[in-house]
Amino acid sequence: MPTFVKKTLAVATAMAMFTSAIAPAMAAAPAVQGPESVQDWYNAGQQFVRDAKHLRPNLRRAKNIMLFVGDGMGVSTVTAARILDGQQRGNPGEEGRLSFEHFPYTAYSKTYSWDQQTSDSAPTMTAMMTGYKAREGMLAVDHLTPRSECDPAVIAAHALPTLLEQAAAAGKATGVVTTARLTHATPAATYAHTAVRDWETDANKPTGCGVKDIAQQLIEASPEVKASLRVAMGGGRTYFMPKTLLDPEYAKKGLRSDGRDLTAEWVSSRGANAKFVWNRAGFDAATPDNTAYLLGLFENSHMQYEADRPVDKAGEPSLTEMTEKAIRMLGKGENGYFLHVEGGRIDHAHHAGNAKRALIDAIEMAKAVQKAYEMTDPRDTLIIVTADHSHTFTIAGYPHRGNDIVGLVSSVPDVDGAPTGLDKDKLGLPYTTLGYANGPGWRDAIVSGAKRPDLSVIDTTALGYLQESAVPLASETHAGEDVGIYATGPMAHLVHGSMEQNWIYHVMRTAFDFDDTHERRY
Amino acid sequence: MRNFFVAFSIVNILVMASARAEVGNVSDTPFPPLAAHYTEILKSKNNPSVSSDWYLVRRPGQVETSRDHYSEVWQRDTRGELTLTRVFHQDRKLIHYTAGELRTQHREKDWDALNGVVAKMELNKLKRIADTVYQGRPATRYAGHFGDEKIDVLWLNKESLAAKYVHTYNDRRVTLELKDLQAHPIAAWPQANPKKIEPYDYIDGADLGDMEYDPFVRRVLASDGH
Repeated sequence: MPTFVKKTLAVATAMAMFTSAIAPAMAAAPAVQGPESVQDWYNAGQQFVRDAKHLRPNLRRAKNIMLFVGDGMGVSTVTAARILDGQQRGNPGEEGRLSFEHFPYTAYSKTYSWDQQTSDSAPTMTAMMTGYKAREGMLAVDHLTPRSECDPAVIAAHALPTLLEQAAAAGKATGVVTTARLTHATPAATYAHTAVRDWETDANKPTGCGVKDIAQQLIEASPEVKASLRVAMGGGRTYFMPKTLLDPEYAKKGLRSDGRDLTAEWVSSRGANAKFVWNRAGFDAATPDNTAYLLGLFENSHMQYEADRPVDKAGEPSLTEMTEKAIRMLGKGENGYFLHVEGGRIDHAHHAGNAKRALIDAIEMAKAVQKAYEMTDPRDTLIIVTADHSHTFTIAGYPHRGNDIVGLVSSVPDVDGAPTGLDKDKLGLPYTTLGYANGPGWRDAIVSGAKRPDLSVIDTTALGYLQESAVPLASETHAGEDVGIYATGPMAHLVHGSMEQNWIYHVMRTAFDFDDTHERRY
Repeated sequence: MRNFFVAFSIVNILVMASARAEVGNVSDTPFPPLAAHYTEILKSKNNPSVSSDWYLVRRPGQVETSRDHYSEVWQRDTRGELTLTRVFHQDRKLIHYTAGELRTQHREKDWDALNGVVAKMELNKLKRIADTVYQGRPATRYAGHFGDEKIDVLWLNKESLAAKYVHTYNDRRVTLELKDLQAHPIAAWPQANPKKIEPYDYIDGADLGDMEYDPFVRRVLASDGH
């Protein structure tokens, strides 16, 4: 008799004995449960092992690499997004997986930076793009760079070549896609070198500061990057527009003091088939056949949260749609490509203490990963999904299987078959499963002096509900625990165990099989 | 500290007005352009009363409020979507909140309340006490209670504006009283006119959480309850 059959029988016998011993309590079917049978769990475990035995490291050189970064997408965000995604499909939710959770290789990423225990996005993305841990607020420069350095020569001396720049030098096409501003820290660390992440437009810099602002660095990239960077899409339109020009979507002027319209310069400096688009219609009209270089800036600052995208005035594409278009454009070349995709607004919704918007954006990023996986060949394309840092977001209490993840905690009843009820705290008040260690949730405590709100009269599943926080802060903060890394494709097996965040760069560089020509060594 | 305390009281009034009214509804109420100068007096049992000036300027699709070195500019587009720009004159900084960010951060306010100091919907919940005349303008006095809070409003009917607003809660009383009403703001009033604020540094309200290394942002977050 095969071992797994013996084991199944043993479990079945044990279950029968167990059932008999506690017969009164088991007389009725459990009120809350998943749809699986006992055998389903066992079979799934067996299948997992069979599949794992067939895993073979893909030792080929990667033709293409895609790095997806969910900004602030800590492990608790992935778990809650997975459950919400399943529940939106009518399932209990816990048993599902987001697209990238099916990837065969995973690891933990230690996200501290050279000078921060809990980091911001600038040094974390710098670590992933350059191979070095860096300092708070600095983009693709080493940790010896003086703070607020304005001398371009000093910045050049401390600049760290990014993987995007190395891919460009190797003749690959490159692309950057985000729902945040294109000049925001995470996407900017792929192409810009600066000591201050906030210098996104010239007006943000001190007078006389010679370092190029980030928008300018995107447009005035090195000849190699200029030729390579085929697609750049996200938000941040006004950072590229002069103060004399009105935004096409809103009655607002650009932010640039130097009078330059960098959107026009993108078009004029990249050949006949270069395009700048700013709304859904322009996005739809730009195809790989009629566009060689595409700059898409769909909002004057960050793009809409995915939950709010349908009400956008001018219409804007989703992260999945932008990812799909970017892959189609980059895939035209023979030499392969490097593409960075950021789910940039997960972080902003968490800062606001608004879990549902953050989770909807995380689900959208998982869809973008799914689309990327479907459009490429895992034999030649390495896809890595990770986060730059976490948030103080928690999943707590003992909610029963299938309990609404954005709802109130309701645990398994004491007697199976009995109705479920809301769990109560020491004040006799219900509480939500999701919460934050700090942040703006329930500010009334300061004004009214009440210890907690009565959530039984509040719809905590509403899109705009702000989860409670233990420490009242106007803005919820990042968190310092490790984040996940998920990988598939060539050299994906190098992603394993507990990794320093900057090792992600070394995995990607190894997958591309780059030599040391463009490396900076100390 | 004093400025923060006074500012907090005004914020409180407007937030409470917003909370009672339906937030985000598109009001068809016409609000004639005007410029109003108020005196705000804050009294509490164990503290001396504190008085300050507060300004409200109405333009088509825009309400601007100012005190000392701080202004708020609320704008409403044709779809009824609100945006907010907070102006910190001494720091020469702007913080802008898109409609989506206002929703996400629960900073939305009722358009009627922004224009009239009190939302008309809230007025309807109060008892109409008497018709009267205030500084030569037809007015109506309303009063009532919301739980432990007592509200007394003198409403300018033609201007759709509160001439006097008294809010009493426990041992605290905030009085907002119209001092001067003009068609356009007087030059000496604190204002956030576009030319003046154009050179100010621009910050997206969604970015504050990622900018805690910035001393100005830390100060703003602290005053917001950080």
